Amino acid sequence: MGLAQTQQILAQLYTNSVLRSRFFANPQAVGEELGLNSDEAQQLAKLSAQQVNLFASSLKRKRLGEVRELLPLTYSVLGKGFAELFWRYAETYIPTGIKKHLEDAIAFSTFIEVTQRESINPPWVVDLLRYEKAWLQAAEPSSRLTVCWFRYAIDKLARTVQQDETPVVLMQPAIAIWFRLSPRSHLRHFVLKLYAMR
Amino acid sequence: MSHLPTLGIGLGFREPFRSDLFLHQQQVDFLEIVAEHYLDAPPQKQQELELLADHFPLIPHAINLSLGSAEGLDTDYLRKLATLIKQLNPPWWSEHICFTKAGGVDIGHLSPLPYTHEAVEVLCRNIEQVRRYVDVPLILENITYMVTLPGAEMTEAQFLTEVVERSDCGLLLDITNLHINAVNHNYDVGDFLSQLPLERIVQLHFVGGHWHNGVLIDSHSHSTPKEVWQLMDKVVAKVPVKGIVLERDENLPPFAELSAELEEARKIGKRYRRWD
Repeated sequence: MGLAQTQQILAQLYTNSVLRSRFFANPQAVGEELGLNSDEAQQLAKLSAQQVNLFASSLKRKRLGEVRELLPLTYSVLGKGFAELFWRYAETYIPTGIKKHLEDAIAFSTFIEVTQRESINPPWVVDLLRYEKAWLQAAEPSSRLTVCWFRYAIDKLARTVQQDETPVVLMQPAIAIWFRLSPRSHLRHFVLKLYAMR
Repeated sequence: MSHLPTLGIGLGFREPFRSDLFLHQQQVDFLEIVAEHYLDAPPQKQQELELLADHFPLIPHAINLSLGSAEGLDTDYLRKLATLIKQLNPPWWSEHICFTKAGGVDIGHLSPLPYTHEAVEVLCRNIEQVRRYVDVPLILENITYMVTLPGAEMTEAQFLTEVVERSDCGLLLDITNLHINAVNHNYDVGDFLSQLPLERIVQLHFVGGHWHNGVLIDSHSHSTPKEVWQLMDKVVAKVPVKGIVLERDENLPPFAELSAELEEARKIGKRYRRWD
């Protein structure tokens, strides 16, 4: 078994929990399924399930830590629920590249928006999350203009959560705009509020 | 490695203590920056880098070049890294002896290599390629590992030695990683050190980790334990190290605590006349 093949299998074992469980249930058969011959599969079967599982968990915890820092407001509101959602999401996606933590946070936000929206309580958390996600996207140097609408007075909501106060949840449609004049200029941001709803 | 300049006591730069750092500039001789934070960076990160470079010598520390990848290096990433290193013009830069990517999967952490001749070959080949882009000396860091890979043809210390000698690189000895591996894999630190080419050690890293489910983790999250201080003393007594860097990432304490650790490391360097 060459190093390239070993590394490809290890990378999958470290990051894919379904494959990992299958492999440690029957390392010989799954090894052969992954393209190893019988001797090679036998060699890889010497891996410690406990060590690999521990490493895999630490990778996910590290991802959670990074994403929590990038979505601090959503985390402060959801608390433990944030981690529970993240464990579910982390099974579905592995970020890559120089900005993988940023990509991870954006993909996690999309996961919640698309698949968990109905189960998030209180519902205004989804707006808060979309606001944080938009900030992350707008902060990219390649982004010149980002526009996003919200059902709530998002600036007040975000500010009160950030200051650890009771969240001000006011049903007031708002449009948030982020822009920069050139790739090296500072990001500007403002929120336009429409009418307040009763 | 003797031609490299002595930098003294450094700190791994982290954004949350930027203000404190500038208030206590005289306590830090140089900074180590995480290279990835400044690749494709937004304008404010570029400005931050320029500000840091105006006040401190900067050593770029890369974490995702994946020098041990048998499928070769990501040249797009390498080009960006080379541009950053050229911009900073440091006396040396560092990466880890590990792989972080394979088969399109970015593992997200430093993963151990099997201690085999093939892995040594791969590392040397990749380092050769890196040198075509970067002519600043490269020093290589030992990592911690939770997973013991089957099929080893040599010990970890022999593997590190083979890699740095064959590739003609310096060694960034992370003494916390060494301590953690010795605890988790039950080996003797003294024996390990006796097998290393000590003359290749350029820089040290140190910090404290924490225990999780009976395993010591290199979380960079706690103050430096006494075993690591003792190890630092032992290494600095033998080796004319050029720099020692405190690498704290998690659970950041008040800056005074970091300063106290830097001062302790400085005293050790002074004791063996590594710097004034």
